[in-house]
Amino acid sequence: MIWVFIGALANIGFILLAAPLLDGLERKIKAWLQNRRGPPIPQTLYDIVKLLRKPGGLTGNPGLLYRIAPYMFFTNMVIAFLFIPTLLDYSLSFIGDIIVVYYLITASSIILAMGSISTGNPFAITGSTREISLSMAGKLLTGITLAIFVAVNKSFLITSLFPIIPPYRLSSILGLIVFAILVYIEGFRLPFDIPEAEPEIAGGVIIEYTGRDLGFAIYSLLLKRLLYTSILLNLVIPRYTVFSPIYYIVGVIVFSILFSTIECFSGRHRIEYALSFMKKLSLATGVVLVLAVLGY
Amino acid sequence: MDLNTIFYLLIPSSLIFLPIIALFRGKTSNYIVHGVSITVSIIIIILSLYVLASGSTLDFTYKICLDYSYPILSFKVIHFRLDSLSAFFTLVLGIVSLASSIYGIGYIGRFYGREHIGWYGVNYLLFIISMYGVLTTYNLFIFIIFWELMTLSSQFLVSYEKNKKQALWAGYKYFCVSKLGAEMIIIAGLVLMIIYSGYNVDYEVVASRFRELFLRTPVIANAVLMLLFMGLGIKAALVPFHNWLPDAHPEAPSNVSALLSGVMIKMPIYMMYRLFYQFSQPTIYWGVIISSFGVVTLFTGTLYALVQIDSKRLLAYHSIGQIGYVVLGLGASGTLYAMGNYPLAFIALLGSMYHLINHALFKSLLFLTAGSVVYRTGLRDLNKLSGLAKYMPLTALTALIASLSIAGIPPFNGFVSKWIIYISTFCAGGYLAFYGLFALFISSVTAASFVKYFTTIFTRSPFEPGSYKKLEEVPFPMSLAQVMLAALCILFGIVVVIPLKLITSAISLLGLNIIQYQYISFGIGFIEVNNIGVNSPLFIGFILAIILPILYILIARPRYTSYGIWSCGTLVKEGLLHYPGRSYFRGFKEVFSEAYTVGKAVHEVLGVTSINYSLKFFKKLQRIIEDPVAMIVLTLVVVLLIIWAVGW
Repeated sequence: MIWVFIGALANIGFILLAAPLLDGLERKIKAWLQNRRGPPIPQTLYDIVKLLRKPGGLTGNPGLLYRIAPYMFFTNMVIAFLFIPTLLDYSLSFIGDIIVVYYLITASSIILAMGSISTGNPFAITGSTREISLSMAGKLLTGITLAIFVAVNKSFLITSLFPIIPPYRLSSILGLIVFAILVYIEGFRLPFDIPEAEPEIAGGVIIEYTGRDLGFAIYSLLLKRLLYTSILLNLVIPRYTVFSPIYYIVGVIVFSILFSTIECFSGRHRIEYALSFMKKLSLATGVVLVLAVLGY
Repeated sequence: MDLNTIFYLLIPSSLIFLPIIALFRGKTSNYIVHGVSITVSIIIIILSLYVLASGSTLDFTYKICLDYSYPILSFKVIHFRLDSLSAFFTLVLGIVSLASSIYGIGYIGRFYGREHIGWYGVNYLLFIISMYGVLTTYNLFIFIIFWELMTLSSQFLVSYEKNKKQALWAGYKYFCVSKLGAEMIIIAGLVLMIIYSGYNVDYEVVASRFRELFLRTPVIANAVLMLLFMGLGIKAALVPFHNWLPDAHPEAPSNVSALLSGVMIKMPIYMMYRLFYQFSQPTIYWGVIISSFGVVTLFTGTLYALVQIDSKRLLAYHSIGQIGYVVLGLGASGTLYAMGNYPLAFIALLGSMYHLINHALFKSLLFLTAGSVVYRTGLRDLNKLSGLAKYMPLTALTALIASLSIAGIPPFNGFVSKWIIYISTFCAGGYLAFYGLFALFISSVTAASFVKYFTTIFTRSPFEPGSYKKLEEVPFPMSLAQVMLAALCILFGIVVVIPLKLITSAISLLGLNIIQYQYISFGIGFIEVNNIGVNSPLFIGFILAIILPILYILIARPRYTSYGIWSCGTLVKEGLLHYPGRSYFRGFKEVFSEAYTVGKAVHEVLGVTSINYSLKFFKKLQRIIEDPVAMIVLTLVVVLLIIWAVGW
């Protein structure tokens, strides 16, 4: 038990370092693809460290909720990583742990939204309602894919949601693909970069945060991306072998390259397009769920 | 005086106060009624805790007729019993009525000089006592009598503000629809009695007869069950029959709304537990029916709540949605029980009951905070309210706790119960997995809806900064009630062992005995049925996730620089930019409009027509009552029917 804890804490230490570095890697890849030189890979880490050393800012009179929101977002994300094996195979695993992660993610997005609505900035409110709308549609997809995995594999543990060993079933493969799309969407990557929408609503949810608060908010967003990627990786890479850390690192890098390449070639959707895309995807995934229940 | 005597005396002794309360119009009546109801609530809590902790039952009979020779008089005794299932529900009633009575001391002050306080008092006390009667009686007929009394008194409370046309209409609609439900229960009861003469409808006898009926004529048995379920479903506001609730609950005084949404809509659920576990054995098809009702209810109720802009109406729609979770848990457990998967059936029932008590806590708290806002501002419109957190910090904090609880955010109580429901549905697979994922999705819609509710009322900057200068926190009794419920919300989220012990004690009565299932264990999670763990590292983690940021802000006091709001290159005056409540999540509502279309169709086909029919029926009945000849004929017919049925 104590070793599980120590392992999970080691995982968190690794994650805290890896999340900004991966973002740096993605920036580099995007720069290459656009024939730019791009910032050095640790640039995001430098940015965050610099932001963390600056004082925060208050807009109007926003109250306690606004102040604690970025920190709560951060702690929620860190706690969520306790339940997912990342670099090492240790995690606090129990039946229904995926639900806990699900709720930690929901909690972080609603707390961030509540905090930024309190500023009274209309851009912040717009961004927040978009964030919540997107998260609602995303949760529908999450629910369906989860139901597919549980139906196929009869297990409700993150570590064994997906059958690593063949024979695979059609529905579980399709479910995995949908989940990969979901990971892309929930990471707020470019066509779905709607809540922040830097060029349009100047940061949206995080528009009024500066300095340390902004640093924590950005850091948490990066952690959230990595959280989703880690859940996805857990479904596909073999665990409990000597090589699982290597598998994990390679997997994360592969997905980073894949996602940043897609991101590089796409422009932002309007919220309605994004939502209706997710609705159609949900309907299609619902059919897959029927297949899964029927045993295909 | 032992507890049995107290149990014996509680109903008659509190009824004595009714005429005294009715004598006064103003302040005195307020103090008497709430004094009495607080005492009654405390006694109810003590009695139910005693029963739940000791596992014993309190039992007595009032003897009203000693002549045993006539069968018609053979329900000669009125049987009351407080067993562990009743005690669980009376505990819910006690807690919520205690809070709402304390709250009422302050809140009812709004009506001084406008309305008759004694009239409120009589109905309020009668309402609490009749709910207590519904829960503690052990006889189907006495159950119906208290049930009708409950409808009657609550209907007067709904239309308490008699100068508001809306309130009168809501009360009338509520009464007619509830009456329709009650008729179904009465017919079912009569059928049971007539088919098996004996005229004893004590629950034990009903249970044994129901089982016989199922063996002999399953069609009739299922028809009776259907009637009972529909009758109860109308009162529980299951979806096709729900549309009285969003009108009725917001119109009542806020502390009564808390009782209505927190406790009264749980009464039919109580009877459903008895119906499907004590009176009959759960079957697969009944499980499917009940859980389908549950999932439709939670889906429609919550999606409609998302588009509301009236604070109390939004909460009322969420009551429908959350009742859906409870019913889903019940239905899932029925299916699983019938399939022989007892451990999961047990867990589903556990989740259902856990969500029931949680919903009672956070929904009544939400209604109380909405009431506090009404008390100070007189407003319920989410487009107009803004920025109250600065002036009413305690109300804002308690509303935040309740909002996070209902949204299912760890470590508050709503999370645990929803988690248990997901476990049972997802692990069961099949159609229940479908229902589970709907519940999971709807939970995030609930969260979104409460982002809107909380931020529009409390946190965004005031539209007209000068207008709220005079606002202050609500009086002490009102904040005390809110703090009490908020503390319970946190307690039931963190110290899971307390509610789980209470619930397992209640479930043991329903034949799903915990001792058989010692092997259920969920590692370091929440349920270790064998050895229910509290000091799980998970909870410490959750608490840290909430506490650490707050401590950081309060103790470290990080430096901040202050700015104004900039928009389009200029400094914007506070409150100038207006983002109305109705514009929240507009994109989502447009894209997912099909759900609303389907909901509207269901609402029009089933809800509106059923209500229209019941209204027409009662209008006809009214005409008959006004006509003496028709009334006499009708009475004679009924008497003849009874005589024929009884064969006397």
